[in-house]
Amino acid sequence: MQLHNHSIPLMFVGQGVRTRLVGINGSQRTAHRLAELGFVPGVEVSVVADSGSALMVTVGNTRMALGYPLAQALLVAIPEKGSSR
Amino acid sequence: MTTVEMFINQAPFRYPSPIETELSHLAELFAQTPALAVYPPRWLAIQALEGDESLLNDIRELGGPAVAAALDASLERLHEIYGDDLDVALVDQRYRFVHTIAAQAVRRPVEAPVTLSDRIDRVVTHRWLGIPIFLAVMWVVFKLTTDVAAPFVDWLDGVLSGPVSRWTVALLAMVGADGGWVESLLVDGVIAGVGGVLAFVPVLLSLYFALALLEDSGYMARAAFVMDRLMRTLGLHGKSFLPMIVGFGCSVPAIYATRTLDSRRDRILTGLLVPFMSCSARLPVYVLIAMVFFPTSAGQVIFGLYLTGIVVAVGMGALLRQTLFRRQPQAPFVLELPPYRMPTLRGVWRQMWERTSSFVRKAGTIILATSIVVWLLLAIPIGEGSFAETPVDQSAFAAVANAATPVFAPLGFGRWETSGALVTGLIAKEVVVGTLMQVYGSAAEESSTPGDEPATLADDLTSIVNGFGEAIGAALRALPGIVGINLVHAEEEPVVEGLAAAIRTGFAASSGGHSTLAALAFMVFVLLYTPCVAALAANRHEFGTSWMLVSLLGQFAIAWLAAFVVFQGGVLLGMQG
Repeated sequence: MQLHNHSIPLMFVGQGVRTRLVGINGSQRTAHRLAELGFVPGVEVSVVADSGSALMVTVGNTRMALGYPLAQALLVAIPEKGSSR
Repeated sequence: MTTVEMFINQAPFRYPSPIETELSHLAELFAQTPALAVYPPRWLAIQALEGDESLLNDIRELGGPAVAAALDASLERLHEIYGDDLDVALVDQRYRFVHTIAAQAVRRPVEAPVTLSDRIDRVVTHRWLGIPIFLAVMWVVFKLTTDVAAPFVDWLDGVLSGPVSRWTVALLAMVGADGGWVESLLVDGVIAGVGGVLAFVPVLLSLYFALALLEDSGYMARAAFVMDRLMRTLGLHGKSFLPMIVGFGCSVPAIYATRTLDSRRDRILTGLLVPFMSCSARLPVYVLIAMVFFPTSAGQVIFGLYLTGIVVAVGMGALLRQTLFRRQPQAPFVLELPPYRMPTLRGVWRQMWERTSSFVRKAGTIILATSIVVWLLLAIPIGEGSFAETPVDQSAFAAVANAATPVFAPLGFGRWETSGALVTGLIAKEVVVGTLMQVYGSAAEESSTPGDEPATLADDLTSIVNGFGEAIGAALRALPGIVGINLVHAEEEPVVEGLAAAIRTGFAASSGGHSTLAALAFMVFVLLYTPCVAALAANRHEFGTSWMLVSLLGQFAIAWLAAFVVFQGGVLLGMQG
């Protein structure tokens, strides 16, 4: 997996910020599992809540709870204001 | 449906060309290999490219060296293009296809509005408010199952021990079989035992009503998210919380519900902790004992017991994680959260009906059988007396139960009545109530005046209907009490006075005067001790005999220790009771 410029783990984005998924940084197993749940590159992801050990995220139209380690593995970019994909 | 199919037919789903080339190549090859005929060829090709290990093994073993070589060559060619991300690329392509269809079929506002689900989630899953809100919800649930259901329990109990018993005797008199051991079997055995348990159906209906509301509304999945941090102290994550909640209904489906967890370690650990979640079969025991000893604060005592179960589970989880499960890491936590929905009456009713009817079926089989066995043991004289005319303390039941009694003496309830009830409770926890009713019921009869007033069928029916109306009134008056406003002070004593007095006398005698402490220790013991045979069978089925034995022996030891601490600790601290 190559490193993306300007991408940060979803974990550090903060609540309510709209982001776009650019890649998954983890084992192939993890990457596959997350992709099957809808975490595919380009999809819009945002954090709704933080329980202190897991994030509640919106991905497309679904809502997921993700443990911190998985939230670390998701690399996202914050689109500049006004720009679309 | 037809429009969708037509659309798909016009634009068949295809992967991008390098993948598609390899897919059709492999699919063709698999189709020509008879050993792989059980699998649809294209599906098998997709699974192979996505790296499904067990299917890859099948292809290599069943397909022979030529197929294996072709597969490796395909994988090699794609690896050059996609690197390690081939499987993600395949999944991505499927999502792209779905989005293309959705984009043409679904109209969406440009700026996604903040939905009601979002607004609810902001409060309910708040980092600090989440757990207090969850506890408040659970508090309402338990007030509902105790205070609101109690008038109906009294009503059913009255109907079963009054009119139904009288009718049975009257029917027996018609065939000339009254006054003998048949009457005793039906009235003291079947009606007292099975009826005593059936009287708690209102409690279960309200518990299942509350659980169904929580599940169908979508809150339950949020609770799993909120509780994730707490579950980590058990060495588990939020997903294990769902079997735990099911465990408040019954341990058996809860143990089977552990199948949804991702690793064997999580399944076993959750399965071992589930029985500490107080199941609904234990609720009738608490209701009976708490109403006798804590008539004004039964709800609080019962809520405390549920919390005790959770606290013990937390302790055991931490202990097991440090010892038996030390070297095993946990699987990552992923859980889909459905949007909030208004529960439908039909959905809620179906859940209530399915769960309650399985309880009633159990009352008709296992509980009926144990009631008859207990009655037989009570009827057989060991000392003085003749069959079915035996004083209870001279019966075979007393003799058998006495053997187990010394074990319970340090806990404050070393009497044959209670130890006998605990032993029969291994068959099903609610049987503890049935047995207590049978053994104390006969003692109560002597002290209370027998209902000899000549009641006609019409009188009985009117009193049943009137009693039901009064129960509804009492339940409605109890509703404001759920949120802490107590409109009704000094509730009337709900349990039949003779029975309550007999139970009080029994506990006072076994505890040297500390009957309240002994009652508390008894409830703690019932909360924690060895799960019923059905739960043990489920445990063995899912995790094997050795884990079942861990559960069986471990829980008995924990229950004994906890009850010992409650009783002896209370006595040491000089608590009155």
